[in-house]
Amino acid sequence: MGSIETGSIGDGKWIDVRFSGRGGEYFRIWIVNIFLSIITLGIYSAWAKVRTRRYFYGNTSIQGSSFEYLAKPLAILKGRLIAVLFLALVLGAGYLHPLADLVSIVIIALFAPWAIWRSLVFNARMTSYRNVRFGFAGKVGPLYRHVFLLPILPLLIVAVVLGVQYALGVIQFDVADPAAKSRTATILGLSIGLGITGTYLLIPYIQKSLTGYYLDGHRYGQGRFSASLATAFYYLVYLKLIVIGFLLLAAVVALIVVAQAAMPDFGVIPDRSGTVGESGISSAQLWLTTPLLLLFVAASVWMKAYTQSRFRNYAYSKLGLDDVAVFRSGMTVNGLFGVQLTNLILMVLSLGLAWPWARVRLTRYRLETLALRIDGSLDEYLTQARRRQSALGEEVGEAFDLDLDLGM
Amino acid sequence: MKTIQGFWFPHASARRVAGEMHLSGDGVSLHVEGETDWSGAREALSVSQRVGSIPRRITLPGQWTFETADNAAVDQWLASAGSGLKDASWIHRLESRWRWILSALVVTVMVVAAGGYWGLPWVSAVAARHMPDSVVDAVSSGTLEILDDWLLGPSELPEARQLERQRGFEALVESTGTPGYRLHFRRLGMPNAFALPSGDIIVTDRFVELASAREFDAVMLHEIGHVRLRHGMQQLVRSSLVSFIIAMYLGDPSGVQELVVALPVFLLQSHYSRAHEREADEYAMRTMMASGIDPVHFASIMRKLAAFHGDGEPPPGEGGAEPKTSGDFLSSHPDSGERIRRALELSEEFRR
Repeated sequence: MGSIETGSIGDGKWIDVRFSGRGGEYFRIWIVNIFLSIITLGIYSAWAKVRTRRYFYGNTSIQGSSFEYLAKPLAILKGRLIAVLFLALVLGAGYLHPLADLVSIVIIALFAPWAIWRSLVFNARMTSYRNVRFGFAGKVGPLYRHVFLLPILPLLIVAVVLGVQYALGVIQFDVADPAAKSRTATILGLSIGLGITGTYLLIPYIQKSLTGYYLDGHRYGQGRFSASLATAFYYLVYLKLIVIGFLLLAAVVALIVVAQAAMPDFGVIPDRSGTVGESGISSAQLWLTTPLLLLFVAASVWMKAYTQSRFRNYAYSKLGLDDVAVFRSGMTVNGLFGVQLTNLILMVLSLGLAWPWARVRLTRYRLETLALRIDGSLDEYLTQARRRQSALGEEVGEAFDLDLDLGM
Repeated sequence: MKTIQGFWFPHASARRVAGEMHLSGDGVSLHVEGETDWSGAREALSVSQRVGSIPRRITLPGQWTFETADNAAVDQWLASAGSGLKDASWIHRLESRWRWILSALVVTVMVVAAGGYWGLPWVSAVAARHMPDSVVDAVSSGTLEILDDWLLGPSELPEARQLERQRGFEALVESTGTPGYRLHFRRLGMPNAFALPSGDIIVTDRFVELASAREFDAVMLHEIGHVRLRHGMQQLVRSSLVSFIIAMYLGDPSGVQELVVALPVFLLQSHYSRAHEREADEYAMRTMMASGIDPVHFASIMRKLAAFHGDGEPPPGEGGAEPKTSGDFLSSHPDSGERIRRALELSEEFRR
């Protein structure tokens, strides 16, 4: 008892993270948030954001101490107003001149990584545990590299190569010669296909890099989080996913073939292109397509649960805080799948009103599968951290409220 | 006098020590065994706002923080303290009375439903109307080429037939004062006609074979109605708006919402699409009446098309059994029985 009260946790035991939020309680906060946001034409949404975060942080605890979210709603409101004004200006300019459209798309694409970065810094600084604030020390550069540059890099390379080929006369437009025409079409098709494939091949790497950036950038007081992630792991998970996906697809195709043999009318795509003709879906088709559709939904939920649980467990297994704390996430694919699938059913049956329960259930599952182990005395570490953090400024300006979704 | 249990956090330290606080009308005292005894006026303290039942923090700025789970006692104390402390707990009171929760729920559901039913179509109609022509053309440029590549074949109709319909079309456009439309003949496995926002109207060979000259006019006016009322642009604006709103309100990374919103969005889109069909029908038939064409031709082409799509047997005369209906809420078009009835109604009005 004494050791808990004085807060000296540690001594090498695994400590579970607890979540004590309740769906009914959050429902009431949620519905009042939406109601007040509607009648204030969105202004209250900044306050709503803070209340929601405080609710979830305040219900997350480690050894009886909960997290705190300290943001002032006005800072969030300011950030939102700036963002809305900026977007309105940029998009409005797009109307004035045809070329401005392209420029505004580029400006928005350039703005997004910066806004994400500001939100990371803001939200980390506004989070505290045991009176010690978190921080985010990652630079904005890597974010531009991973969010902006890398996804379009393969297509950029392709464009440059095509440009060179055009200059050399290998590909030609506006020519009558059918041989040159078909050569151009082949080269164009292949190159663009190659570029898109390149982007897809980069996804696991980008995800690994962003996860590493996110974890390595965080600070607890002056304590550094660090995670050494292996790129190979991310490729392996996606490879397995593709194999599983193909097996599922094969199973579904087999099912359709069997169904079609039994019912010749099955699976005929109803006409939806016409604007004059009647294009209802016959009820027989509906009854046969529905189970297939449900199967497809369940499969996609499962596949998402697969990657999310794998990535989360892996990232936490590699995470450390200085040499003081290590982490462990024990999510199982079926556990997460169960929560997600029942959430989905709840949401559909309630027309979306069960959202608060769904969110609380998912948060509980994510947090209660999480544990950490402290080596040495957390007390001493915390006191040191507390003393050193006062050097950091507490004001970080406005927040842009753009979260980085790492799917983990 | 009320005593609450909690934890004491000294300033600039992460230590946490169990202690108790005594709250009374005019003062507060804090007792932490072996650490501190403090007493003073409640005005010196700041108390965190209540959210659900998360721990409350009572802070003496620059000195210490006291954390307690006894929300009820703190609320009671704040209420009895009167004007002493700034307190914005009215939001929590809203959140804890079922009467308010229910009102908030009803208002929210009503606003969302009304917004989806009337607000969204209205906003997208206004936006589509003010869309510059250059944007409209940019959106549909290339669409016909793509359709030609993937779906449609070149028309196999005799040239004379095409010319005849082309002339009829030009005369129709002339007489109704709606220039800027182009007619295209294409081959597809079914009778169909559709319009692109730019004013390009595509008719299939099967459709031309099926429709008489007057029936052809009726359908052309329906398509011109879609273009004039900018239905295609409305649909574009609306789906962008819907995605934006969903992203704003459910912007939490859980992966569930995309699937959940897919169904209502699909139902809503079908609803809007049916409303557009009715509008285009109405436009076509009003224009027909104004230029002296009996709307009965609209009814007869609808019967022919319904018969082709296996939507029940078309009765030859007026007042016969109407084609059977299919589930209205899933369909992108209003049920043809309803459309035929409306055309016959207007036909009677026209004949009088």
